[in-house]
Amino acid sequence: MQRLLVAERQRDPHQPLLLHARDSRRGQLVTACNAAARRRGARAGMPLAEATALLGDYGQTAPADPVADLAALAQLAERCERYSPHVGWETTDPAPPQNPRSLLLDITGIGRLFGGEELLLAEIQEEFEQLGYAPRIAIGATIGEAWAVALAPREQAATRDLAALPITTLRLPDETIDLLAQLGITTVGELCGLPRASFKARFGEVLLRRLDQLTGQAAETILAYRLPPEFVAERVLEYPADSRPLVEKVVASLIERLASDLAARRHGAMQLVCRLAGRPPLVLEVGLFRPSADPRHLRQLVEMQLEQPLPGPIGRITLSAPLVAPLENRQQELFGGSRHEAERQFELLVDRLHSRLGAAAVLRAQLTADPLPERAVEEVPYLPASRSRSKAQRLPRPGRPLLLCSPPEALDASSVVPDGPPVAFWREREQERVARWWGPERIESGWWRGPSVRRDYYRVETETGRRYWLFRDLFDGRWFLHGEFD
Amino acid sequence: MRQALDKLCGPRAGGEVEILSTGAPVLDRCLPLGGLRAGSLVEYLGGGGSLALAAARVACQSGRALVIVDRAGRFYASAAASLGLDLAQLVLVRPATAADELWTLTEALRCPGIGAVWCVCPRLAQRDFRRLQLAAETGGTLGLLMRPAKVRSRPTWAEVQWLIEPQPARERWRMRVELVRCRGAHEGQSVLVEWDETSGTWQEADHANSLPSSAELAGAAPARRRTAT
Repeated sequence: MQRLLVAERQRDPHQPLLLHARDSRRGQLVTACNAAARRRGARAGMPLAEATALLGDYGQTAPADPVADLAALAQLAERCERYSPHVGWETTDPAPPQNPRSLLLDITGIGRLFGGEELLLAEIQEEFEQLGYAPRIAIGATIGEAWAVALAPREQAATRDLAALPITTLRLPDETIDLLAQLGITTVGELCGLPRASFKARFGEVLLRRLDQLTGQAAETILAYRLPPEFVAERVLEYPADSRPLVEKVVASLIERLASDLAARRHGAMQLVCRLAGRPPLVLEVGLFRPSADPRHLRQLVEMQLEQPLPGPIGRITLSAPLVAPLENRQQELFGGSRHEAERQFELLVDRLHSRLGAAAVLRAQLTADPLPERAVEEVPYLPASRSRSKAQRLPRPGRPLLLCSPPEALDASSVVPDGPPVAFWREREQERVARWWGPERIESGWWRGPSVRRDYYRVETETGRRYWLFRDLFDGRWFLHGEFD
Repeated sequence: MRQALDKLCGPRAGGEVEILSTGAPVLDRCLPLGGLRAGSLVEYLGGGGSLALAAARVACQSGRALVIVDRAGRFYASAAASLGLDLAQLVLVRPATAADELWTLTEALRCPGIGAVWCVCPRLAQRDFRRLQLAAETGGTLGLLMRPAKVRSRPTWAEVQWLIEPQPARERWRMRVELVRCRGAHEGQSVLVEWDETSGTWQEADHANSLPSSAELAGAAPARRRTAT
């Protein structure tokens, strides 16, 4: 919610706003709402239809986007790294930590660097407010305490009386809070008055754990947030260069550097982007079939793309690997390793073909269930993902020509019977007389597939023995050549 | 040492080279080695794409890939599947230009991970042809080239050259296959082959011309070195 408010800062703060997401059981639910919406009675967890009815015409809704939320939080975590050596994020759900919502900073011994912990807190508050966020920040002896104080109403937070804190600050599941509320328990102090032994049986293990985490009896660690490592190599040329050998040499040295970085982390590049900063900049992209940190192979792939003319003097060359994956270790075989070697060579070949011809030119053919000949084969780019996926084996339809004309070639043909087979047809200004024919095979497409198709296909053999695949369009009676048996 | 010598002496009959069937027993009998040598080029003049795919099927039996280089975009994979090819082994490459096509062919032939390369290539310069032949020899890959019948009289770097003539048939799909050139064989002999749909193989047609037996062929002509083109 806060991310959206920051992104659209000019938005009217009094306009109610709802975020919603699909729940598998209850349909569209509200996941978050702003203060204006809350004033009108909207709450997180209510059905979207109900909430929009409460807001009337004035309200706005938007789908929740957890991925963007996470990215925004990661950015904030990065900013917080200047305040603490150990920044992590926290989640309200016990496990697994999928949906972090808050940041945790370990500031043990850090306060004096900023002139006291209170000043540190104020500085973080100010920085976040400048970004447009409205943070709730607190310092506590335990993670649980900091969390509780940050969420507590202001007057209670000031006193730091743990017993007076409401139970909603305990990071408990909603149903436990509801249950406790029904029992008339609203504060942590009241909760501590209950017999501890009965907690686990009545409220589950979470309640005990959260309570102990608040008081510090149970240990809790900060799950550190770490930026994924970036693999970039860059070289600024002293004088812009337009000589190809020089550029190639620099690219080669960058690849060498990047490859050694990758190899040190046991990673291989799945994608390489080489940016030559000239006017206009030239960006080369290489996709790989399998992660590789082999400088020779990477160089080959990039150089294949470098064959195009350079755009002019180039001042800076940047090489990055935006997509990396762990390298697979293959055991070296002493005997009979040729099979693996052949497979590896094949993968390298696919990489090279991809790099030079583009992904749309290196294809894998799959049979589909469609009876229409043009759609009976699906051609998909040859990628490692599609390699492992094995579709249910479909049987090919018999009697198809090896060479298909696409689109079908119109031709003149004559037949004796109006709806019968062709007797002769003209191809390249020569008459071909039909000696034998097989058919017809009628193929019709469903009306839902756009312009409908109705054809009568004939396999014909001419007097010279050549075989063709002809069809008559049943709508207008014209003849087409659709393929050639070769 | 042995390999180095083999390289120097060029391909020899027998020995350690891998011999692949053409996919039709009757065609194998025409060849002195009893099949096609892996790492060589084979030309099919005037058609015979399906016949070449039968040879490709044999070459890729070990699980290696078949590369189809199809610049015209006419190759129909459904027909290839009904000829018995496993589409999972097939890599369809559609280069946009003639230069890319030649580059793809060279790279694919040079790669040891490829079983066979199938390509319709009407135009091929002498120097490029030689380059392809060397690439095939390096990679041990079978190169199957579909070429028009008019290139018959031109010099070739292919080890075996077939001329295909479709024949009017009674029931089955039939073609006459003439062995135009192959070292150590009776050049000019021809056989009739038919597509047998029930077994999915190419069979000798009933009324074939009489052929010399394979024993005669094997002793008839010793392997000669290619001198020039």
